[in-house]
Formats: sequence, C-alpha cells, structure tokens
Amino acid sequence: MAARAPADVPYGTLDLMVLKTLQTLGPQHGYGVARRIEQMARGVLTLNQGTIYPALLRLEQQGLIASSWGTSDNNRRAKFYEITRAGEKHLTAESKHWTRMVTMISRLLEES
Amino acid sequence: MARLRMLLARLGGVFPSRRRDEELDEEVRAHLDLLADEHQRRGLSRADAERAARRDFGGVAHVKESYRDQRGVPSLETLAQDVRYGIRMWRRAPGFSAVVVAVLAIGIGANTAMFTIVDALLFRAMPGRADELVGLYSHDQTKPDSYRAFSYPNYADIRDGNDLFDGLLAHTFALVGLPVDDVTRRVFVEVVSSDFFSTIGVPLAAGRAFTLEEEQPGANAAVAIVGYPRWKDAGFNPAFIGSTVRVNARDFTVVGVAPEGFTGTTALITPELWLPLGVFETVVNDVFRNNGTGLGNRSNASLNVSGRLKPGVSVAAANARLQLLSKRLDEAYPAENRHQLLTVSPMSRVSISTEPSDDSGLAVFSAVLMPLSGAVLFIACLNIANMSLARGSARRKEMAIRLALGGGRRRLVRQLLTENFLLAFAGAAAGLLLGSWSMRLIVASMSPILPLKLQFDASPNVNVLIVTGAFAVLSTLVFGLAPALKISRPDVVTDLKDAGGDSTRPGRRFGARGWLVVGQIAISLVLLVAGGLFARVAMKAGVGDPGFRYDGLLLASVDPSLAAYDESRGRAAIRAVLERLRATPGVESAGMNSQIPFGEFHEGRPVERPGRTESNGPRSATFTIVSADYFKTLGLRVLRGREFTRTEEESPIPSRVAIIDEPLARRLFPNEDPLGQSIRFAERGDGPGKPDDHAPMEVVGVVPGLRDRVTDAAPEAHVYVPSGSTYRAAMNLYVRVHGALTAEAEMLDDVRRAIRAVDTRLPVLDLITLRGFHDRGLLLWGLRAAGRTLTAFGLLALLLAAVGVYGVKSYLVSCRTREIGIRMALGARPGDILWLVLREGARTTTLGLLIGFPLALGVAVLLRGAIFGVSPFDPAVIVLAPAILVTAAALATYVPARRATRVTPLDALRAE
Repeated sequence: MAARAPADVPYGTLDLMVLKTLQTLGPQHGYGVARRIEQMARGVLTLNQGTIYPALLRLEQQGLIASSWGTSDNNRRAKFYEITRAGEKHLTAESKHWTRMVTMISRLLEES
Repeated sequence: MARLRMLLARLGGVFPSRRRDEELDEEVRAHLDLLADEHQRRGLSRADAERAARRDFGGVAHVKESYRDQRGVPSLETLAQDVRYGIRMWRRAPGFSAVVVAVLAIGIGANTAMFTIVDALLFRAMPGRADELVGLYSHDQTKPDSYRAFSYPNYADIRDGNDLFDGLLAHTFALVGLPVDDVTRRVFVEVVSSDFFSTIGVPLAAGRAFTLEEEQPGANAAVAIVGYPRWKDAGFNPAFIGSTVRVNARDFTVVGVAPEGFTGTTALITPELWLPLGVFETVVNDVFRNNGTGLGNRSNASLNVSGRLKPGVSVAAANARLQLLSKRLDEAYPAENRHQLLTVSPMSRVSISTEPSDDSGLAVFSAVLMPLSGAVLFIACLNIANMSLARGSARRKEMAIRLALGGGRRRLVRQLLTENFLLAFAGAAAGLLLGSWSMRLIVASMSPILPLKLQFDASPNVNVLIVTGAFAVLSTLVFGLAPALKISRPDVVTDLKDAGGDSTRPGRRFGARGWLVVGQIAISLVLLVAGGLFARVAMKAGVGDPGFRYDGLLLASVDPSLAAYDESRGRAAIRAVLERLRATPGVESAGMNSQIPFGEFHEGRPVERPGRTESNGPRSATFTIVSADYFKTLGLRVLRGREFTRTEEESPIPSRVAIIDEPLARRLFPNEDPLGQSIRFAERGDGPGKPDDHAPMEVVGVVPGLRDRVTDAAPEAHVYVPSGSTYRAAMNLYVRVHGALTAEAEMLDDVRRAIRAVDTRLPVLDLITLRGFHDRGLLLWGLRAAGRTLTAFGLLALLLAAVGVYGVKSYLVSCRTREIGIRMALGARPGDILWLVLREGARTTTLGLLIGFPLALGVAVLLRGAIFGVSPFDPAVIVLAPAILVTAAALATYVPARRATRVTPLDALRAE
C-alpha cells in the first residue's frame, strides 16, 4: 500500500494539542503554537494554521488559557496565550483519558 | 461552570464589535507576517513568501468566519446578520418593499378586522365572572321546545329556597324615553334584580347596587344605575351620585355607576341604564310585558334568569336537583307551574333568550367570515410570492456568487426567509393599524342607528396581536418559502455566465409562476362572485319597498307612555294629533300603526279559525294595530271589504273586527270568501292571557300583502286590528303628502308643528320621510356593509390578480426577447407575436376560470342562507364576475404583449 496522504486533524484533538504546546513552551503567540504543532505532526497531519484561532478562542472562553498582547521576537505586536491553572488540570485529565482511549483501541486492533 | 462561562462569553460576543474584529485582523496579519518571514529566510522572494504564507494559513475569510461563529452564539449571530442584511436589501429596493408591505397590510388588515369581530363575539373575556353564568330555563314537559320566561314570584322562590346557586339574577328589558333637546330618544334599559351586579361578580365603579326593597313588585323607587360613559362625561364628579336622570318624564336618582366596559350577561352590547325590578309596572312596555299584568303576578312570565352555580355543583347535578324543585313549584302553584321543568345550561355569549341557546350560529358565521378575508390574504401572498420570484431572477447572479463562495443553501434560504419575515412584520404592523382603524369606522357608522350602546373595543388585545403575528408568520411561509427554495438553487455555472434570463430553459414557460397566477385568478373569481351576490342583495334591499310607495310619505313615531301618560291620556293625545294632521293643509290623508314595515320590531301572533283547529291549524301572522285610513295613506288598495272606520279607530269598546291580507286569506280560507268569516288569535304556550284576547273577530276586509323585512322574498301573512280595540302607546303616524316630492322636507316641519300644537310634552321619537327611515334600517345597514366589504375584497383580489398577471407576462416576454427576435427575423409579423403572447395569457386565464368557477358556485351555494332574495346563480353576477376578470386579465396581458411586438432582431442580439 502506498504511503498515505496526511490526514486532517481528528475532531476534538486540536484543543488538546494547543494546550499541551502551551504547557511545554510557555506563553506563545498563535503563530508559535501553529508552527510547533505543524513540526510535531509533519507527515502525519495537515494543519491549516488558521484553524487554531477558533480553537484558541474556544479554549479562552472555557477559561483554560488566557491571552494578553505583547511583542514578538521580531518586534511585532502579537497576542500571547498561556495556559491557566484550570487548563493544566483539564490537560492532565484529558491526557489520561486520551491514553486510556489509545491503549484500548490498540488492544482492540492487536487482538484480531 | 465552564459551560456557563462559555455561554456568557458567547452571548457577549453576539453584539458586533469593531474592536474585536480589528484585533482578530491584527492577530492574523501578525501570523501571516511571521510565516512569510520564515519562508523568506528559507530563500523565497518576499512576494512568493507571502503567497506561501497564505497557503499555509488556509482561507483567511473562512477562518475569520468560523472564528466569529465561535465568538457568538451562531444562530443568534447569523439572525442579527440576516436582519441587518434584510434591512439593507429593503433599502436597496424601496419600491418593491413598499408594495409588498402595502399588499400585506391590506391582506392582514382585512383579517385582523374580521378576527377582531370574531374575537369579540366568541373569545374575549366577559366582565367579572359572567363566563361562569348558567341560564335557568323553564320548559313545558308536555310540549317539545316550549320554553317560557319566569315570573317574579317564581324567581324569588327559586332564589331564596335553593342551595345550588351562589347568586341568581333576574332581568328584562324596556324601551324608555330619554329627553334629548326637543325630541325623545328611545333607548334600551335593563330592569334588574338586586343581586344583578354581585352575581355577575363585578364591583360598581361608584355608588351602590339596588336593594332588595327596591326590587320588590310595586316598590316603584325611582333609582337608577348608569353606565360608565355617563359618569365619564360628568368628569367623575362625586356629586354625580345623587343627581337625577329623566326617564319617561320622571326623575330617577342615580345611586350607582356600572364599571367600565360592563356588558351584563352578554358580550358586546350594553344598555345605558339599569333600573330596579320594582319599577317594572311603570317602565316595561307592552312588548316585553307579556300579558300586561304586574310583576307580582305569578302568571306574568317576563323575566330572564341566570345564575352562578356553587363551587363543585355541575350542570348535570344541578339539573337533577332542579327536578325536585320543579315538582315542589308545580304542587304549590299548579295553575302557573303545571308541567314546568326547570333546567340550567351554559349561556350564549351574545343573546338573551328564554330557551337554551348556544353560539354555534356565531361559530358558523365566523367560519364563513374568516375564509373570505383569509382568501384575500392568500391572494396577497401568492402575489408577493410571484413578485419575489420575479425579483429572485434578478438576484440570481447574487445567489450564484454566494453559492460559489461557499454559502450553504440552507443559509441562503434562511437569509431570504428572514428578509421576508421583516417585510411580513412590517406588513402586519401596518395591517393592525388598518384593521383597528376600519373597525372603529364600522362601529362609528353603526352607533347612531342602535338603541343600545355597542361596547366594542376596537383596539387590538392580546388575542388579536397573537393572531396577527400568526398571520404574518403564516403568510411569510406561504409567500416566502417556495421562492426562497427556488431562488437559492440556481444553476451556478449558467447564471454566472449569463446576465440573467431564462432563455436557456424555454421549456419551463408555465412554471410555478404560471400556477400562482392561475390560483390568484381562481380565488379572485370566488371573491368577486361572493361580493357580487352581497352587492346584489344590498342593491335589491336598498331599492325595495314593502309593497307600497314611499314617495310623499312621512313618518312620525310617538310614544305617550314615555311621558308617563296612562292609557286614556295617551289615547286622547294620539287622537288629537291624528285629527290635527288630517286637517293640515297639504296632507292628503293620515293614519297610524303599531309597527313599521321594514322596521326593527315585528310582533307575530298565531291566527286560527274558531272550531277548525285540527284541519286548519294556527297560522303565524304579523300583528299590527292600525287606524282608519291606514291603507289609503300607505297607498294600498283594499281588495275586498273595507278599511276600519273612525269609530273602530277611536272607540275603546272592543269592536271584534279584523282585516287580513291576501297571504293569510289564502292560508286560512283556501277556497272560500274570507269576508264575514270569523278568526281568532290562538293561545300561545306562555301561560293564560286575558280571556278576551282570544275572542272571535269578523273579517271585514282583505288587503294586499306586505313584506316586513328587506330580506323577505315574498309578502308575509298579516292580521290587522283597529286601534280602538287595542291600545298601544308606541304608535307610528303616517302622513301622505299632496303633490310634488319637494314638499316632503317642508311638510316635516308642518308635521312637527302640528304635533307640538296639540301637546308640547308628547314624546316624538322620530320624524322622517319613509324613504329616510328605510335607508337608516339596521338590517339594510348590515347588508350594505357586507356587500361593500365583500365587493371591496373582490376588487382587491381582482387588482392583485391583474398585477400578478401583468408581472408574469412582462417577465416572460423579457425572457423570450431572443426567441421573439428570431421569430421576427424569420418573418413573423407583429400581429403574430401579439397573438402568441395573448394566447398564452388566455390559457392562464381560462385555466384560472375553470378552477375558480366551480369553487365560486360552491361558495355561492354555501352562502344561500345569507343572500336573501337573490339566487346563488344570479345571472348578472355569474356572467359579470368572470367577464370583469377576463377583461382585467386581458388588459394585464395586452400591455406586455404590445411590448413584445416592438422587439426587433437587434434587441435579440443585444440580449445575448
């Protein structure tokens, strides 16, 4: 079977990826988050970078991240996002949930 | 918690915010710059780097859109957007929008007005606890459907000796005279028991209710409760209580004021005054008085009784217990209560009757009324749907662009519907105004001819508002949904290429729009026929006469009892006036009677031949008391025998003679000469009357038949008795004037002077030409109003249909410019083109007529009961209505057809 074309981001996982990125890298602007996810996912997922903005807004509305205006490395005004305490908690819980899910699915697939 | 926070954040985001949009723009710009910088570092030119950045980012507009969706509540957000957009479209096409709103306003206004009437008749809340009242009825078990009213002693016994009712009221009506300037206005008053207001459950606006003493027979205490409007006119002056109103030339002290909007036990109409039962003998007139005895007489059954059952007592339970009560009354007073059974049942909202009645007639009336106005709204909707479709073709390109840019179809349909809702609500608001304004007009035009106050609040209430809103929503769905679905499904590629126009699909000439026009024509025909029929009825009624000439005939109604004249004084006054009138120069003859042909009141009595009841049972006949010279004055020829003599007119000694008319003669004496035969009044089921009421009378004359109502097709049976033998205070004097018609108006003054010269205090209720009296009739007013309303509906529908035909034809012609051009190039003459378009128009019209005609006939047959004296297949209407429709449709087709003949091959080329 030929190498598969990179898949779209599975529904619901983008939020998790954004949260994890912010936890790992600390405060980041949207571009930074998008690049990081793109690097990590290269060859596996295609990401329209723009799609992270609705995700960022959603997380902010849920109180999982917070945003503030700052200056980027090349002296541009940019909006920086950082994970909140609630976001950390949410990430831990969701990571666990995700791992359990993946383990379960792997087991299921290996059985046959 | 997180969810709540999210909801709040999103609700906050519903409101458009420039700042937020700018922030997003800035953020995206920063992102793109950073991305481009990156690409540039990798060696791309700046321009290529920026292009690559946009590619990586994805669709900027799309991201912004979904970002905005996330920011607000999407449905609310798009609604707000659609509304804003709709208003913008509105402003861009103000002419179209104005026409739509106007058409809807007419359609919805007509329905709002109709519903306001239906609501008042059937649904509107009644004052106090009147909705809980049940009627008490008394019914002779040995005869089917034989109900009678209650005597005061019976009523008092039932009220005081029962544990069924929380309150039991009795009331009856009287016509009394209230002085206005130098004439007397005759108005209805309600004569009521002491617990009348408390049983209905309304507190008085001021003062007190009647006392038990004031209610007693013979108490004759001159006290009155007046209607709210009078108190309002008095400026709510506290001294108003204790002031007096003059009723029948007697001062009544005002002790209370009825609450605002009070209508008693019925909806809609209200008397101006309430008097206690104790004044019964002095104010209640002969017609309402039953057999002329006093209130205290147990055989005088003249009161209507209704009450409020105790909580927990059902109608069925009450009826079971009332059987016992009936038996007790039967045993105690067998003469008056033999076989009488008491029952209760829910009451009608609008009528007061001695027998149980419900409002099913009103429901039927409403069921006829609403569809008629509904049809107008339906046509209006079809029309707007048509206009929207035509406009939709113009917006086809806009839609194609929106679809190409990724607008979902669902989203487009929603957008179009929102636009239509906006129009519909504007139309509904205008319709509401139009509706309540026209209702006010109707009430105002009716009030002067009623002896009662119409308690009719034309301003819209919650019911009306809800229904009007429903009309708006419904009509939007009717006129908006189909066009929206159709417009939003254009062929993207073709429409982007073409500048619009259907030339690529010539096969679909008779599409949805064609059918809409067919529907409009069909419904217009139905309304035109219905309107035409009523117009014919009104016309016939307007020019009709009872059977004698109106010209040169004057009418003066007097009623000495309204000045508290007793019988001998009343007789003297009337006789003197009649003598004076007969002696007045210019008067050919003068006579009088007890009821006016084509008037509002008719008294009927059954007539039979003594001793021949089994083969020739009683015939009901209109009972009229007349003077000498009555038939001569009216211009009626006495067919056989003679008129009453002066002696018979004046002498109070019973003369035992009667005159009958031809219809009654035919029924009572089919193959005999009625002259010299004897007849008598048959007994009615409402208790024993005076014995000499039923004595035989000799027929001394036969006269031609008269029609009593403008709606009577044929003359009804009449029986006439001389004024000498039967006294009636309320009499109508007729004066036949010599010579020219112009003398009528001057003679009115002479008549007035003649009456005043005899007796300055004699109450004159009316002084008018008979023609004028006829034109003012309540029934005629109703018929004319119905004729006008329905004709207006029909013409409105016709106009709308013509506009529809015109719009569709113009549109089709413009779509076929190329085809017509080619035909012309190939040698078609303008006449051929004209014929081509007209033929297609004729097809639409014919189809509409074919569908509409049977429908119209069906409706006409349904209306049979309401179109008095006019055949449902009235030739004038059946021929004229389609003819008008065809003419209008032909005109509406001809104009675009003419335009089509002016198409040149060059136009066709340019249309490419």
